[in-house]
Amino acid sequence: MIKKPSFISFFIAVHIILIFLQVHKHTLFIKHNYTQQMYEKKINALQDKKQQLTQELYALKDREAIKKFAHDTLQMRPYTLRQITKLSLNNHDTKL
Amino acid sequence: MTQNFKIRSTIIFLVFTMFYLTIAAYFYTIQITKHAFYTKLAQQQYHVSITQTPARGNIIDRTGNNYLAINKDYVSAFILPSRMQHQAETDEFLQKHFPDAYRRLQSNTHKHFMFVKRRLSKEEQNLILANKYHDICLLTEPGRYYPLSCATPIIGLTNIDNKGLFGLELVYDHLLTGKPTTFHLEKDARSGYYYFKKETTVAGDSGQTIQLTLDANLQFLTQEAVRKTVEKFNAQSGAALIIHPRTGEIFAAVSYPYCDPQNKHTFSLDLCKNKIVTDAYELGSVIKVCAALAALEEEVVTPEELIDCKDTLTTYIDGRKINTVKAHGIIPFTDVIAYSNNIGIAIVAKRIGTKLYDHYKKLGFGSKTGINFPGENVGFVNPPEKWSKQSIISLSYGYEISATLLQLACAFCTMVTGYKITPTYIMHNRYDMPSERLYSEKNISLIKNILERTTLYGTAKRAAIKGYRVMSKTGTANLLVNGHYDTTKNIYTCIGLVEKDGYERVVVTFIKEAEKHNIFAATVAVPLFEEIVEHTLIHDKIIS
Repeated sequence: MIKKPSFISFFIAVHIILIFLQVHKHTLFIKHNYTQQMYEKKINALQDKKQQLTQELYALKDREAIKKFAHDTLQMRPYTLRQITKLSLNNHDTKL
Repeated sequence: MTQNFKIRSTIIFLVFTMFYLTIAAYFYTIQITKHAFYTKLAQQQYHVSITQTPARGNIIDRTGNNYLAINKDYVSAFILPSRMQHQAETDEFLQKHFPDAYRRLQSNTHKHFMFVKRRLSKEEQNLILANKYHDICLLTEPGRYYPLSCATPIIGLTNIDNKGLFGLELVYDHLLTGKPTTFHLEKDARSGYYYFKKETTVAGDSGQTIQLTLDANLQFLTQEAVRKTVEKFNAQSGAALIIHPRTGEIFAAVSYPYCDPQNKHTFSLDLCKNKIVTDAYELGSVIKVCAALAALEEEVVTPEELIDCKDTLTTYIDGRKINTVKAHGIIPFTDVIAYSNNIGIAIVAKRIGTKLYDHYKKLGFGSKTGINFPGENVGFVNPPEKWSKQSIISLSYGYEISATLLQLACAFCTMVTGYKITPTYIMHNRYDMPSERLYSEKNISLIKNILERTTLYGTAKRAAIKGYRVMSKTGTANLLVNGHYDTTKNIYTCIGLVEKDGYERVVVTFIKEAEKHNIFAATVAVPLFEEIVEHTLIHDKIIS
């Protein structure tokens, strides 16, 4: 038989522990919630950065500028169909 | 002493009683009387509703590797006129650098919010950031960036509020925009920066990415070829189209000149139009092939039948004058088309009669093609009830009938496949092939032979490419100016099919108003056709 004062102490202690666990749970929830939001903000910032870089990349991939550079600086010229020959696999084998 | 103690005790008791009664009354007021007010106040402090607009969907080409429209944040400047702290400095700054905003501010001094300027340039941003004694603030707004300028007439543009203005941006605005999502947040009271709880009250959709049938590289190569030809002949404009004859997928569609989305000063309504879809012309001799197919289908002629083309440049049929470019005597019907003789085709067209109109309608002239694009021109085919004696003659070689280049391309696809197609700019996983054959396989084969002969020996000789089967037809037509055909203003068209081991592409080229007179499509549109076909074959790695 548990004595009455001991039972009350045990009861109060259990409740204090439960309250502590509840507070701890809530603290953890807030902590992780904040962490999640921090990462969400980072994701948004990175997405913005990606969008900005994509835009810059496509501004650099301007086909007219590339063509002008290839033509003027690299002295490249477009080729025609007549300049292309299809090599058949058999010919390749024969040469080997 | 006892008396004093009693009095003092009573006073203290009364004071405490009053104190507790006041607290109780205050609690009553808070909890009962003003319950709703304080509840609302608390909710406003801790709860907030946020509506988040999703990013607009991108537009990509058929390969999925090239963006044709992407999002870009633009910086705008604003002021709060009713809460200005440095009025004099701000006025001076605006007057000097943004006079238009200054004028607006003078007439709106009590407004809560006013844009100084939207979509600032880098220099304007630096100018505002450098000056610290004014009330001008900056904010970022979503906008669009179009990496391939020559696709602008098709893709379209968005307005300053990022809503589709024309082109595919307008047609698919609902898909690209998505739906905004509304969240309910339980705020952090201290900073207001974080939240405890986030609930979605209205679920939205993110903006969808749209994949087009256009190939960005092919579009650019086609645009370069059209630009070169327009500049070479000092022409007013040019256009070209590459389409799959069975699925209706459009690989490239160029209207030159076009508006540059990065340079708004070049904007004009005319330059923003996708002329392949919006502008209809009387296309001239290129229509002869449609009349030829109608004649074969109606069995009023055979390819070998000899037609007397009178060996003259001008003759009269039913009292109506007909001109042709080169005199031919008695030649087979195949050569009437190959050499594009107006007299010969008019003689055959008279045998078809009013059924020619039915065939033109069957080929899709005078009706929408079914492409989902705003501002499509339906064109016109003169109906038999309005025909004069001249009409059957004119209709046989491409007058009294106007069509867009897309209608012409679709009709040509029907002529070389036998089936009607629906052109599209949007990529689908599967294309439903039409089941109803419009023209017999025999006549399709005959018309393809006639077109091949046109390329090998006729007016489109330069379109021939060794190792490939090219079937084409040219057309040179006078433009109608103030009710009269102006012989100095012409349009030049070439349309053809290139085939190689199951590979098929229909290419249309078009040049309007070349500066030089007395030249024909064989000189203007055919070399352009050949160049575009070469680019296409190399691009698609179809090597013989």
